Amino acid sequence: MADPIYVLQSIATGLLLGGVYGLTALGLSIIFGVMNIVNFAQGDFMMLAMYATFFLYTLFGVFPLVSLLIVIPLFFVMGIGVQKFIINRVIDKPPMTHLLITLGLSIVLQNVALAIFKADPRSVITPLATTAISLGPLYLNQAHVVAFISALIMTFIVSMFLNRTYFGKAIRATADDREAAMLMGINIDRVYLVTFGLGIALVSGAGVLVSLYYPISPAVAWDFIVLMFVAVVLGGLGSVKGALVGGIIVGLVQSVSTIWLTIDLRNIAVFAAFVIILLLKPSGLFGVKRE
Amino acid sequence: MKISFAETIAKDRFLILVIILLIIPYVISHPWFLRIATLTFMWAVLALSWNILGGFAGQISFGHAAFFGLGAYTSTLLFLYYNISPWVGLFVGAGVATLASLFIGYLTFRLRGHYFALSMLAFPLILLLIFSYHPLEWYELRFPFLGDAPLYFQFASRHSYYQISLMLLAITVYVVRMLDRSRIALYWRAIKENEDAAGSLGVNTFKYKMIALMISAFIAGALGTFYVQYVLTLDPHIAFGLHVSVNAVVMPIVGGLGTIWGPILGAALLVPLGEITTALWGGSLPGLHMIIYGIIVMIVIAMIPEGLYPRIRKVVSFR
Repeated sequence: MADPIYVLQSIATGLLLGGVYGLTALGLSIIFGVMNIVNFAQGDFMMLAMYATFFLYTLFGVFPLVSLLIVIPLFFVMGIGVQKFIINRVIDKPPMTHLLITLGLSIVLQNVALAIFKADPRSVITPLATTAISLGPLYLNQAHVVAFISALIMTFIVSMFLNRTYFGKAIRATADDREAAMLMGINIDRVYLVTFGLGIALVSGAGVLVSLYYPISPAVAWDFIVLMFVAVVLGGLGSVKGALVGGIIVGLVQSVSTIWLTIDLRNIAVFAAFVIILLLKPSGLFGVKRE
Repeated sequence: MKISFAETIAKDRFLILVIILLIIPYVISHPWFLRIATLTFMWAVLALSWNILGGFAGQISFGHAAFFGLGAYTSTLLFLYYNISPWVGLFVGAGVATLASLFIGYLTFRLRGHYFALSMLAFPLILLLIFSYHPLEWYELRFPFLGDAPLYFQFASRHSYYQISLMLLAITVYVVRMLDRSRIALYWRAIKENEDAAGSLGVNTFKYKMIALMISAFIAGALGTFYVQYVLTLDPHIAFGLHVSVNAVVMPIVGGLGTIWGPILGAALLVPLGEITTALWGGSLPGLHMIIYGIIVMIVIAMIPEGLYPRIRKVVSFR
């Protein structure tokens, strides 16, 4: 049996990583919940945000947490642009076209990044990544702690926006029933623009945080997009709580599995857990309707 | 009214196409042409197999590489460890893929729509990791070059691979056509239109979705063996890589979901495009050929969401 301190340590690390996974999945989940679109390019926007963080830090010395203030608005606008000029063209077409257009976008973004930045990985090296906070017998990586806390704050702000503001309510009304929302005088086009912008802004924020401790490469999206999918399928697409809980499960399983498995195989544990949960509880953790 | 044999052949446009395609290499035998054509036939088979589940039964899946890769690995390992001919391995591999599809379908058919599509993505990835880090070092397998050994699926001439892949395509088209005209296709269509309604009318939706998946997996598994024999090398990315699943989805949708000609047309557009752009810029500008692929997919799907074949049908009405 593994050393209990080590087990506790992995649980703590898993929790910290999981909170950030929750944020990476949140944008995907909101876009799906409101627009019924699975955005395959979500991970690629995250990759772009990671490069933005890298260059802001290395070229201009902007500390990653400060660059949140630059990256998030920038990607919000980018998301609105993508919605307006690309997604909107197929919004009334069958779901397959949404999948394919975002898949095409993902392929384009990833390979544009490959052409410009080349394949070699880069890292944002801040003092945070190499220092640890001790908490009793546990050592927590500072980069993980900072990313976790920032992710929770951002998740909380989004939750407040959706629940407490007028526009947030309009977004939720559209998610519940598009036609009824339209009849109530909600401008659906604008809701879609803001939703997509918000979804991309959120994943870009997650990208900034992830780059505190994860190497950046053009294909980094594929390390995350599937984990995002797992998190939202477990937690239920379209729910803030679901994305967070799903993300934390992914983080915990990944981290705790390294007690028995080598680090390369940790995602096998995630997928295995995913399969087992599907087997035991096909309706998902919160019993949401899966249509 | 009696239809003569000659008339039946004349009416079968696909048969005419196959005959023409069999003759072409005697005229154009450039190796590059043979390669593009062979790969086009191959991907067309994969697209057609995916289309049984995705197009006919309406279950869009992002996990088709699982079956392709299992077929590829089964026949390769059987040969390398037990010296069993890939011709036998082709069927064993297809069988293994079908067995896996039973398990995968049992798990994922509880989910619908996007949830199903995304869950399927997990399976090739699990297999990719397992084979990448397998203790027996299966991450890079090379087939010994045997020269001219037809019994072991190796031929001196590239022309033979062209013929075999064309035959695989022909068999697949006839199987799909038979399925399309059978009673089972009606159940699939009902499930595709409205699964709940089909279920309430007494259609065993789970069973018919499973049948679609099993046939789909069998063909993809068999094709996996062909592909390994064609390139004579196998690693987890060739087998379970995302590009396999992506092509399997993209080609039928671009060509025309749920049709027989659509997946073939999708392959005939995207495979040569990929090969030509790779040959032109693959070495000098990494990524450019994929950027072009992505842009073409986006443009086609934005302008012709129903797919190329249905649009062509509409514009040029055949006879």
